[in-house]
This record gives sequence, structure tokens and C-alpha cells, in this order.
Amino acid sequence: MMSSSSKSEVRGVKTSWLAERIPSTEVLEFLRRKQVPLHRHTVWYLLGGLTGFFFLVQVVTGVLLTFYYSPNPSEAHESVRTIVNTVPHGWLIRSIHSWSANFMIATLFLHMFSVFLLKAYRKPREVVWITGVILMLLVLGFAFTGYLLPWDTRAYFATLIGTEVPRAIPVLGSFAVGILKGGEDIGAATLMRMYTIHTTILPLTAILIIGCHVFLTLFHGSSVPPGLKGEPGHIRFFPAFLYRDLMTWTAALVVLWWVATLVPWGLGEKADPLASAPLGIHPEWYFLPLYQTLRLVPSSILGINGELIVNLGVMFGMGVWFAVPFLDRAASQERSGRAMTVLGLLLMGYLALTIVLALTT
Amino acid sequence: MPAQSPMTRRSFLGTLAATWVGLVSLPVLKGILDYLSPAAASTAGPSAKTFALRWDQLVPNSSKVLKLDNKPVMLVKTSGGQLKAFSARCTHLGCIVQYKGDAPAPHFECNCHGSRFDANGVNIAGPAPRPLDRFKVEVDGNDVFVLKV
Repeated sequence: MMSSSSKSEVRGVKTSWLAERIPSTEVLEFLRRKQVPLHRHTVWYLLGGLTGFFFLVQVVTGVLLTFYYSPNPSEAHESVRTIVNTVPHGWLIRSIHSWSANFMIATLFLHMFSVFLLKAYRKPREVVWITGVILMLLVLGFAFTGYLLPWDTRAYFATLIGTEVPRAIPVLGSFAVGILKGGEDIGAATLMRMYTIHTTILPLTAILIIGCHVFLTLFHGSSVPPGLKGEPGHIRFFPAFLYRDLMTWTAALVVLWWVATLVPWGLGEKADPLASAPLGIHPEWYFLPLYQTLRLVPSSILGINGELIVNLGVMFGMGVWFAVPFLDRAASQERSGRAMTVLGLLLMGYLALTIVLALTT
Repeated sequence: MPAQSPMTRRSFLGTLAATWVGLVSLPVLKGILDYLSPAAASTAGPSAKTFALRWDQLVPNSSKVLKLDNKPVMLVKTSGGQLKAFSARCTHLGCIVQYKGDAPAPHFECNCHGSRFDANGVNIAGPAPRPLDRFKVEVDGNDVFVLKV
């Protein structure tokens, strides 16, 4: 039997062997030195990590789902049914995947709007903001491409509408629709494309952008809002702030588990491409602002195609959203200018109003 | 007038590298986009005379959506027994429309964004920008055929 001293010797040899090859001590030292501002808005700093946590849940459950899912129209719906009804814990894994997607989008939007209102995008964090907006688009891309995969009625019509929206853009629109659909109609090519984008292209891109986003966030540290410069104390990132992160993630996991178990995510009827769209059909809550806008805008305004106006409006809005750090001159001079805040509040109001209208009219 | 700065070795190599990346990546990108673009789409609906259904398969004031030449075509029999054929796709964003034959004024409705079309397929409400595509119907005995107008 090995004595305790020889055991620790083995451990010592192992530790030093690893330490020579992996700079874990330096990384830990960096994290210990790193400080997080402590003030009345510190709680908002937790939302970025929480979004990342839900992304991790998506990766784990998504990989598990691919073991049984079959991406072709004749088998897709049945394979999801098999996952839900036959595969051990399959219903729970699928339910967690679907609910976690919704939670991730919700926390992402809360994170983005909190960053916006606390003006954390100002110099030198402009690129952090830009990578964040790219991540928002990627997450919405995940939601859109993943939605068709169960091949049920709602998924089918959501994808049919979603892929047709860009068609109004001259020249590029039809080209983009062709690339997305892989043909004239929603079919086997579309499903395969959505599956490939959802499980390969978007994850690889997201991991790359998340890497940049997290690296830059750690490099620049958390931003203190302009009005609170005199207020903050600090806490250490490691272990104090990471401990808060872990507590938040644990609470999120409990809530996610609870919701996924008590309200299992449903599966509709298998999509019938010849059936008319069911009455009252509408997309998930995060696409309702676009859906309601498409309903409200008439077919033509001053001779210009209504869908083209919606497309141009969305593109213009995204351009402005990307450029927020460069447009907010007051914030770049460490003043809490009101103009950009009002713009953001108006945007939030519009999103909330269209969601309510879509659900009630 | 200040002397023009000569191109340094570093900037020359930088320009050369950027040109090389551009020359290689642009054709590669075009190749990828060509690869992902679907083959040219077929015409919207049956161009040749295509058998749809038998006359007695539809009762008055009803409709049926059929896949003809890979496109959804809606055949409608009016209360007077007249047969009409339309593309079943809403001209807004492509959802399959529904025929409301039992309404006081029979019409088509799209449940996706609320577009409405009258009994002749003309857009009368909602965001649909144009009428439903129309097809010609030919009846030969008990057989109903559909072809593009």
C-alpha cells in the first residue's frame, strides 16, 4: 500500500508537470487580481454569464438530441416523437432544450438592454457592444433555424413566412431566399439546410464570437455607469463574483428544470404542406414584433412595396443599433446624455407593444 | 510640396498579401454561393394540361388543395357549380389560403397575416400585394384538368 507522503509526491510531480505545460496558475492569478465594480447596478453584470450558461445548456442538450433526430421531412416529426415518447429522458432533454432557448433569448435581451441603459458600450468597449449585437443575431438565427426541425404545422408555416420575408429586397432577396430554402418550396433541402446551419455553422461562429466577447469583457473589465463614478467599491472576480455567478446559474438550472418538467414542450401535428395555415397561428414571442409589423404595414406605401419597407426598416434599425457607441456622443464624454436613452426606451416600448398587439388582436 | 513617401517593403508585402487573399477568396466565395444556390425554379404551377380530379369529387361551396406540378393549386366549386382554380399560396408571404365558401360573400382568407381575397382571387384586405395566381380549368366529361393561363 502506498504511504500518504508518496501519494502527495505523486500529486506534486503531476501538478508540476501540468503547471509547466498549462499556465493555470497565471490564469488564476489574473482572475484573482481582476476586480468587479460594486454598486447599486452590479446585479446586471450577472446577465451576460447567465446567457452564456443557457448557451452551454443548449450545446449539451442539442448534441444529445442529434443522436436520435433525423433531418428529412418523412422522418423528422417521427424522430422527435420517438425522442419524446421512447428514448429514456428524451422528453426532458427536448423540453429543456426548447425552454432553455427561450430563457437564453430573454436573458440575452435583458443583458443587451441593461448594457444599453447603463451605457456600458462607451469607449473603449465599442467592440464588446458590436460582438454582443452579432451574438444577438446569431441567437435569433439559432431560434429560427431550430424551429423547423420538429417539422410540425407551426414550425412549417413559421419557416415558410420567415424565409419569404427577404424576397422583397431587389436582386439580393430572391438570392438569399434560394440559399435559405434550397428550392422553391419548404422541403427536404430546406430542412437539411436549417439543420446544417443550426448544428454546424451557427455554433462554430457563435463560439468564435463568444470567445472575442468574453476576452474583451475580461480585458476591459465591467463598465461603471457614468453617474456612479464616485460610488463604487470593488469585489474580486475570483472567487467572490464567480461565486455569485455560480449561485445565479444554480437558481437558473432549478427554474429551468422545474419549468421543463411541469410544462413539457409540446409537439404539434406533422406539417402538411397542402393544408391551410391554422387560424391564430403566430411565431414565438421573440419574433412577434416582426410578425406584427408585417401585419400592420399595408401592401404598398406611396407606391413602394410594404415588405420592402419592413426589410429596409429592419436593416436601418440594425445599422443604428450596431452604431450606438459611435452615435452616443454624450456617453463617450462620460456624460449621461438623454437622447440615446430615450431612443432605446422607444425601441423597447415598440417591441413590447407589438408583442401585446400580436397576442391580443 | 512634401516628398511622396516611397512604398516600404512592409507595405508592399501587406498589399501583396491582401491582393492574394482577395484574388483567392472571391472566386472561392462565388463557388460556395453557386454550390448553395438551388437549380432554376420551375414555373409556378402546371404549365401543361394536368389532370386534377373528377367533377363529382367536389361538392358546391367547397374547395380542395392539390399538388400539381409540385405546386399547391386550389380548386373551388361555387354554389352555382362553376369550377375555378387558383394558386393556393397567399401572395404576401406564401401561406396556404383557406376558402370560405359558406360565408355570405365567399372569399379566401390567409390566417398568417390576415390577407383576404374575393371569390375571384382579387386581394381586398390585408398586406397581400396582388391577386392569387389564376389557372384555367377544363372539364372533359367527368375529368377536371388545370392549366396555366
